[in-house]
Amino acid sequence: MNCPSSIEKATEFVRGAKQIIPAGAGTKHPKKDTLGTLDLSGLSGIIEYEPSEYIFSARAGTTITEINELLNKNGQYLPFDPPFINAGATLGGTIACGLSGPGRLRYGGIRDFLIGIRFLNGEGRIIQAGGKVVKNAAGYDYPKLFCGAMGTLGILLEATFKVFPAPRATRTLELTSKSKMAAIETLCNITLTQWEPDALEFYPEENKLLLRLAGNPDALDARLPKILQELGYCDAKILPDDEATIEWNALQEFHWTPRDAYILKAPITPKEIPELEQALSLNDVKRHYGLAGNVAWIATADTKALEEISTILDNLGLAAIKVRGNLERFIYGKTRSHKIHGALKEAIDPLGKFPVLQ
Amino acid sequence: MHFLEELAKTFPEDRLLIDKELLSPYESDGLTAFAVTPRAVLIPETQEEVVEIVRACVKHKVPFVSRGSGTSLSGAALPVETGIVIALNRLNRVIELDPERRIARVEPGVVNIDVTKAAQVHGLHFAPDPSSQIICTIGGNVAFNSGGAHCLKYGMTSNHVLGLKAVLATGEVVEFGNSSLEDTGPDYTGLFGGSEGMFGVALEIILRLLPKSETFHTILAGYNSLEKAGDAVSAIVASGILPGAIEIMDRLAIDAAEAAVDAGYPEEAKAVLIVELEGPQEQVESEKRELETIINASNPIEIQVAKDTTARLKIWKGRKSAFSAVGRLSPDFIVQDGVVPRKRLGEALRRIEQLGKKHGLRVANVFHAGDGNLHPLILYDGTIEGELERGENLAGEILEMCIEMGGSITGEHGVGMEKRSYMPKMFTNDDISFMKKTRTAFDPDGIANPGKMFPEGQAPALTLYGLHPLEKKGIISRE
Ligand SMILES: Cc1cc2nc3c(=O)[nH]c(=O)nc-3n(C[C@H](O)[C@H](O)[C@H](O)COP(=O)(O)OP(=O)(O)OC[C@H]3O[C@@H](n4cnc5c(N)ncnc54)[C@H](O)[C@@H]3O)c2cc1C
Repeated sequence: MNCPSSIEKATEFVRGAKQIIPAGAGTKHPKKDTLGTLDLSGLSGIIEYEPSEYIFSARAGTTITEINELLNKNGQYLPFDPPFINAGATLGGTIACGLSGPGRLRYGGIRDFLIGIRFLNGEGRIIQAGGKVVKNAAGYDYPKLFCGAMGTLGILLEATFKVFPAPRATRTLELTSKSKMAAIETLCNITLTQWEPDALEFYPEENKLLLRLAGNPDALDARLPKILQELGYCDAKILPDDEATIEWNALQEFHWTPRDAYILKAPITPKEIPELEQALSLNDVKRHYGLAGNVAWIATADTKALEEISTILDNLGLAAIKVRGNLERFIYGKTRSHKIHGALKEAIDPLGKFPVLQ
Repeated sequence: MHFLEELAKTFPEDRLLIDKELLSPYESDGLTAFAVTPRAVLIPETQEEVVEIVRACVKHKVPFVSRGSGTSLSGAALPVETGIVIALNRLNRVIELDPERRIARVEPGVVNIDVTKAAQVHGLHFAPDPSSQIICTIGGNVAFNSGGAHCLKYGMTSNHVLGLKAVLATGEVVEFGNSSLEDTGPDYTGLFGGSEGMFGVALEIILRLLPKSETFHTILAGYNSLEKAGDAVSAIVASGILPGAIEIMDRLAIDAAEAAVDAGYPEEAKAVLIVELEGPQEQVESEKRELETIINASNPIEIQVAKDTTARLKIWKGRKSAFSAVGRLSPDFIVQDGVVPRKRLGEALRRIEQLGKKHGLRVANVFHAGDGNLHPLILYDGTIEGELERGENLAGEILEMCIEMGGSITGEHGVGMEKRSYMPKMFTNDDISFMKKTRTAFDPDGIANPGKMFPEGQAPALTLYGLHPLEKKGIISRE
């Protein structure tokens, strides 16, 4: 496998190769030892960190763990809660998969915090886009385009992120309702409050919501009783900190899915959840709804079930992308195909070296 | 059939303007230094009509420039002589507003503030708030990825756009993104944001709405030097508080604001700092105490705390009126919106002052200190020989300074016509040629807003800078 230790070597590889499959740590799509595989985990390390600027730049192969350790020391954090951290996820892989976790609800997702990138295009040229300051409107916004591109548009070398001061405390409430519908209704009510929920996740099998609030400890403790009162219509309990940490960590690491399961990410809105739930509960698939009902995570270890899920999603007009599993196919459910998709891919990768998103 | 004849079949005379007098309001945008008379102005009323116009442009290879309210400050809405302007103000329907999904689906001609007005009944608002928000359109905001005073915490326009429908410069109608916070595949919505009208025309935009903050706490501190105000910003940032807005104004800007709106800013201060906390009551209460300690320790000569909404709005009124007010101090001015790393703000301001002295021009400063976004206002008198050129040179040197400090030539006003020659200073040839290739995918014939952003092409002659016509009437003011 090619695992370049420098940008020069990566460039050389891209220039010489006919087919390239970029790979990070392999936490989501296992690396294969094929000719075209370009393992970027060797290009790692933090390049620059300016706590006063709320930014850092790092090579794409840097693990999120390394980033988090550094940010932690300075009381800062990545507000979008990138998943698969303990599994070893890298920045590059997380950007390519466009992945954000529960915390995305409050301040935005990976697309909102990635402010600059350096990448290799299909011709092996290094392109930089965006910048290293938190506000910038010069040039086209490739950092956003690369979020979710699944490695089909180029090789990420470096990324600059905006970060925020970390909240000093969090409190987690577990809210259990009588039915799924009641839970979804509670979820919608909460999103319209002025509590500024930090995360709000829905466990359909238990009619359960997990609500996280973040802020100063005194402020949270003063607010909680009022919130509990307002939520009197469901069974609400405050989770002790250690228990809460385990719960959130389990979500971030997708512990609720079988280890070998494929995971699909389907953008959704709360209104569409009941129908999808009904359609999916017939099958033996695991589901979880994140971001106040804005994303459905669907997991199954069965390849055939994957096809069935795809049809179900398609019928409901929902699209999904495979964020864990093999590399053969990414897109499930409803597909949208415009000529511009192909034209853009060709403009960026004229020799067709990178995989096609399919 | 000829291009305009073909369109005349659909568009009556009052929506297909060709008379010189009728075209004149469209000759410039907010950067009045540039003026070009287009061949015609088309005023569509439906999305289908926009598609029809663009397809006719594709067929006849006629350039088109989309236009919202024409408040662009970088000349990006400047017409092309051989082309047409598509005026989108009549596409101003809020198609859908759904509190449950917290989204609004709007047409591009909807005015920014009207989204919040429509969302208010549900306790929601649209966060991006350029100071031109009572007049600029969502289409313009998207095309520029516009900002406002709350970018540090809430981001820019693109951070609040979930999806959009557009007719590209190939004639293809596309949909990117959806009503969810999440998306699949490359973020095409994000790429379209900030593309300055060079990819096509946005027809429908899905916006993310946020609940209005429960409470605000606004504090104004006066200092006897800009440096001290800058130090206070650093201390706030280091403390871990995340305010909704952090703004600074210098003496010249304060004087102008005082003369215009009598905001009651400290008389002796060389600089004022405005900090606004927002969020849940208890959190703001807790941060308020912390902020007070920081500000007290920063050696201010005066502190004003807004006791109620009226006092809060008064503080903001001074801030928001500052730009137009500065315009009163001088017949002409140039405004830049470069960005520097926050910790170098003090240095940047010192250098701007020196540059001003070198060129013999006054510069007023009003800026988004929280994100290092400068807004130097270069004052000059166009009737005095050589002052415009000196102003231009000074503006250029400020932009170069921003690049040298590791910042950006524009934080929110876009590149457009004005800053295109500075692009090569910020990006390499490879970067720019890559952007051009991307552009070609969207617009193979180069008909969508040609001549902007990239450094080639003939610039029309400069005339005088000055207030936007609507600013002169006092309808809008700028940040
Ligand atoms: C007094 C004043 C204050 C301002 N304050 C701020 C501020 O605080 N922050 C800030 O960021 N900006 C500010 N601006 C700049 C300006 O208001 C913004 O850039 C605004 O977003 C432009 O909107 P508009 O509707 O006027 O667009 P226009 O000026 O008409 O057009 C701007 C660009 O968008 C393109 N465009 C317009 N509609 C579409 C569409 N539907 N599809 C594709 N492209 C389109 C045009 O071709 C052009 O390139 C200010 C301007 C003024 C005059």
